[in-house]
Amino acid sequence: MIRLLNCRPATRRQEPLVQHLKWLVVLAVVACPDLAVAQEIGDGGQPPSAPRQPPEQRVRAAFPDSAQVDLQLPEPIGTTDVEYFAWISGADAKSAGIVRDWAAMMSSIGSEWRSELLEKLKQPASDYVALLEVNQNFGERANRLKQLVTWRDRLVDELFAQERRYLESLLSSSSVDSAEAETVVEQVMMVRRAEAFPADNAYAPHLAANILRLLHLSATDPGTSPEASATIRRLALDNAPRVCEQRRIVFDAIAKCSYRGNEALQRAIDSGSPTVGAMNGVFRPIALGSARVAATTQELVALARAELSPEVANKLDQGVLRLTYGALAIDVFEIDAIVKVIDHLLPDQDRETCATVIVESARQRAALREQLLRSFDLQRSRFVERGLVRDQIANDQFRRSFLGYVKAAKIAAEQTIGKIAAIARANSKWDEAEFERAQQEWRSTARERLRAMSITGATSPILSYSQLEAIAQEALEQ
Amino acid sequence: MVPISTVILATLSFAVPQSGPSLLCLQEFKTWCCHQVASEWLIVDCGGEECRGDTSANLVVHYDRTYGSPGFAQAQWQLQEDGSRCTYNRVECIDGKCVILPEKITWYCHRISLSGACK
Repeated sequence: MIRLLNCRPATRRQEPLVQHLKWLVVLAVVACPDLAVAQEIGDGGQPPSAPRQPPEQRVRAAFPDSAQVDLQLPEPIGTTDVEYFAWISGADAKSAGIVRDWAAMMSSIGSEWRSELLEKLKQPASDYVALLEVNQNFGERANRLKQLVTWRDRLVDELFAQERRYLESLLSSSSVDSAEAETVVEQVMMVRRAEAFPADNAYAPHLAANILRLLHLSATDPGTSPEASATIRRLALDNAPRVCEQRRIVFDAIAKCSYRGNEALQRAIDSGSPTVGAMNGVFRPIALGSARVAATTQELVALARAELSPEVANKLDQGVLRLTYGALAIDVFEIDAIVKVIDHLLPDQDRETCATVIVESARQRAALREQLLRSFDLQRSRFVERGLVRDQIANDQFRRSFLGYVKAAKIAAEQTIGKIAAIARANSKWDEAEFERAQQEWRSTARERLRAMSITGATSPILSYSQLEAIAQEALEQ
Repeated sequence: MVPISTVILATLSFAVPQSGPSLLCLQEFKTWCCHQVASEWLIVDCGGEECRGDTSANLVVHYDRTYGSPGFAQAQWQLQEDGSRCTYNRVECIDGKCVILPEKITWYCHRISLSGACK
């Protein structure tokens, strides 16, 4: 375990000394790397000989403000968002150009406004974490959080108002017709408000795959014709009000769930009711709202697919999956790399057969993955609906399906590799050692992908880290 | 007497510039972040329950009695893909029943380098 001392960061006056000390220390670490490593790894969980502060205090004392309660603050507009805002504004070329300028300005000046305004929340958000150490009363915590969220709402409104005024002034100074300007401003700010907040992967994962942005990517893909591009834009614009409203409702519920959840816990304690499940009324709307967003996303993906080439449609599908499920959506046993090693050894007459086998194998793994994701989605949604309560039976069931998925996908991939290798072995240039190395690499990549699932917490609402590790080990050792 | 390795780590933690990490450093930050959050914070959240910190698992602390389901539970956590922060829900126990709290705590990891390699 990492040990920390209760120290304060070096002040500006100390810098020269620290600079010298830094080099000395770097030299010491380079010379004796084992010292640092030994300290980091720990001593089997035993506390050090010096008296210890409670861990929370110790960590926060060493790194002030490093822990804060999450207040769902808006992200700044980025430079990569410029084209997107021009596109989703629905404006003609002239007004779209102004929106582009606005978005570019917001990525610099808007970002500064954001920092200035929201900086005010940093200390109280950090103080709240300190409060948790000393105050066990959920009612008092709820009051403090409610004050913070109300303050946050005011500051966020102020930020959006500033952004809006800037857009209005740009349009007005460019002599854009006032009615048109108003339409553009309403559209842009509706979208901005609906997607400024980071999606919560545990409470409402379906908000991560923002269908409006994904449609923009599809419409601007080089593989999309101008006609299809215009249709996709129309689809996005027609559905933007619905998409934005659904997202706004969920974000709003998430921003308030912190204090509402604490209020619910306090009510349960006061009335002698069980605290487990007491927050279901707070979280159910979030789960249902997230499901509604998911359904709309699927509907729009289906409509877009009809306009897109299979390649671009596939990118759209993959985008939704990757954003919604993170590491869990990755094809753990993808065989492209190992096939590349064998590919040049395949006889021409067998290439088509091999290509079919590879495609079929990928389809088989995708089907297995889809089944798993569906089951995961259901269990995760139920976890949120219950008010962040886990269920042992659901855990057991999902653990079994996950193990089944990993084993089946691995077997399917291994069989495909075996079939192709058997054909390539006839070639006189076949190198068994090289093939063995490629197989090792493939297994190692699969292990890393499974590790990414645990390390990012992709399954943490249902499976624990150790359960996932055990599954990976059992499946990979077979 | 303070072990020399402790001095090295503590000094390095504060001597490193406060600007963000280079891409090369992110893996290190990721590992540290969740290790630290799990090992330091979640143990505290056991609320008097018997709990066991499984530091060998690196990321997650297991509780023996939580959520009314013995042997099963773990706090919620998510790691940002850029490795800059971990967000998790605390777990607190009242009369032997543990709940995942609704508010999320975000732990910012980007300011710290443990080995001195990230500058």
